[in-house]
Amino acid sequence: MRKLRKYLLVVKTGINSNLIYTADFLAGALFFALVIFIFMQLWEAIFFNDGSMEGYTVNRLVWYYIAAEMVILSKSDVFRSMNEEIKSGNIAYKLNKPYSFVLYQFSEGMGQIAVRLMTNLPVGLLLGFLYVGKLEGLNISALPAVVISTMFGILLNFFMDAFIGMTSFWTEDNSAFYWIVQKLSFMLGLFLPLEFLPKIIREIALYLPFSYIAYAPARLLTSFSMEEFLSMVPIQILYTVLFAALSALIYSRGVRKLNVNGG
Amino acid sequence: MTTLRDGEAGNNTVIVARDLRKVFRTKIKKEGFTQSVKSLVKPEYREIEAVHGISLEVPRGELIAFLGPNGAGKSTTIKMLTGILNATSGSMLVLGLDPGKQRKSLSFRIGSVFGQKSQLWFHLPPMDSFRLLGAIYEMDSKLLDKRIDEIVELFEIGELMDIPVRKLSLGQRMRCEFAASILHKPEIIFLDEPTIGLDVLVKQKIRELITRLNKEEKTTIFLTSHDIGDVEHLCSRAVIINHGKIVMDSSVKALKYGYLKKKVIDVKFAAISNHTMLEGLNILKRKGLSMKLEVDEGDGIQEVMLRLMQAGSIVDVTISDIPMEKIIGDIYTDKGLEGINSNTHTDSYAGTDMDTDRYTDTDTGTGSTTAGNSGGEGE
Repeated sequence: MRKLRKYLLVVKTGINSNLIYTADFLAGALFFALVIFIFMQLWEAIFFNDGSMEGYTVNRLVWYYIAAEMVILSKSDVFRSMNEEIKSGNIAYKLNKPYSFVLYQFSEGMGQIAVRLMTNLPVGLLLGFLYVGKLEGLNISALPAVVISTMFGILLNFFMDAFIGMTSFWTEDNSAFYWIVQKLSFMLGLFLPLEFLPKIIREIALYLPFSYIAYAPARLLTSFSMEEFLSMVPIQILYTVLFAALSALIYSRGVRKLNVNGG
Repeated sequence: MTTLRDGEAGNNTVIVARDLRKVFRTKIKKEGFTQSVKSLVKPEYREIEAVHGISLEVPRGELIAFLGPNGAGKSTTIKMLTGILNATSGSMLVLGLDPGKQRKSLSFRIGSVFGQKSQLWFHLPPMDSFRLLGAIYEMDSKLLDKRIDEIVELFEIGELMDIPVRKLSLGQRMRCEFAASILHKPEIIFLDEPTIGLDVLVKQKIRELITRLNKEEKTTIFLTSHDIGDVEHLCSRAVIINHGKIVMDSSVKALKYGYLKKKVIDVKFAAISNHTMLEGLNILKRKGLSMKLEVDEGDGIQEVMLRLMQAGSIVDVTISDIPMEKIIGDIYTDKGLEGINSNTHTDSYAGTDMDTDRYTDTDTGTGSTTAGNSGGEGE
């Protein structure tokens, strides 16, 4: 019980610590509003305000983008913090406490994500209603499925970031990996629904983890089908577990070779 | 790697290290484009021995200073003793536990303060960090409240408890850092440069707290510092390391006493009329009519003073102890006692007969640290 309490308190402290960034919140909301506005203009120009493509109307595309961006914007800083802690050698000073370092980082990250979701969710909903009104063909009974998929999208994103962050145990500069992953998740599901991509690319993307971050929850929100839920969420869970395991593995290997500078 | 068994060094001993070594492997990169490409394909490594066979024992309740220049291996040793780094070879026991294998169990019983790193949450008041640390150390919440009250009073940080850490001054922050590290009543506390960057008053305050902690809670203090004042005012025993080896392990009293038998005379003449009187004196530095001499305490001072007065008319004279800073500096540069014993440097204050009660020469392997309570006479 006490063991659980310490991580819950880390989440709580993480929330408290992130609540003070009011300027961050305002800048984030403004950015969110701006990109959605730009995308809306883009889709309207392409569709001449009516018509649709692969079942997506402008209304659905805007909501798709809001849902996808919600996952991406609500990510934690785990990549940057792991990277910095390892490179600067500061990680050493976090190791001599009675906790699991990975669980500690996870709890702290969850605190951050909670604060970002709490701010991004109302902003996203408000923007959607203001720009295009209610989502067309919304299936209320599908919402729990969307929430589950969003949750795993966020978790998968977290563990992929944590994993890449910890490659700095070995590499001097791992920002290229991070950049590649960011671009891939942008191209394979955030910028465009996979349905807009050539068939061959879409099929490959469905085997890769990137689309399971933002595409899966956004797709399920805008065009829910039980069949897609059952095919995508298990893969999301599988990739989440895989990257969590990889993170734990890379951590334990990394600590063993820890070469803290100084002395 | 030999293993030590608990109790091997006596129940009163909280730290035992035998022949501890740490080798780092660093990638080397030569200059130039072709070399950069080459290092991508076939990286070359150089081994750097940060700690080179350190042996020591620390009895419970001791205030021990670990001194050495930058890169001497001080922090690496602390990191090995606290379980952060694994030793390349050698063995150690801290509170009867093997830090490399039992890091977590050990972490409940030790505390640490690293002068340049913070364990407090930057944007939150110290109270939040204290509560979180209490939970991390799995303390009962009632006990934690009581302990926080105790510490807040001891460290006089009541008025700082609700100010975000980022708004505290360095001195205030250090007091809170220190308080945070003893919440769980550690038996040993490792302080790595605890007074770095602090002003004189705050330094005194921190030193006072360290002494009180040692006396009131019987906490063993293991301290590294560049500040000789820390050692002089706090510690009973000083271990000096350089190039990863212990070059001296002595009680602070003995260290000072050995050198205090010598004095430094600064003298300034209006004019020197009889140069022959100055011949044979141990002149360390001379500039025009001013000079600095080293002299043995006792009869030496009288004799030298007489000769100086006969040499010319004196305008000013000061007789002083050799500063602790100089003593330690000499030990670093002379690479241990060899240098001190040979006393070949005319510009050095190094004495000839250091009266130390402990001396380890890890090079020859003949000396072994015999830590008992002998070092405890200082305080």
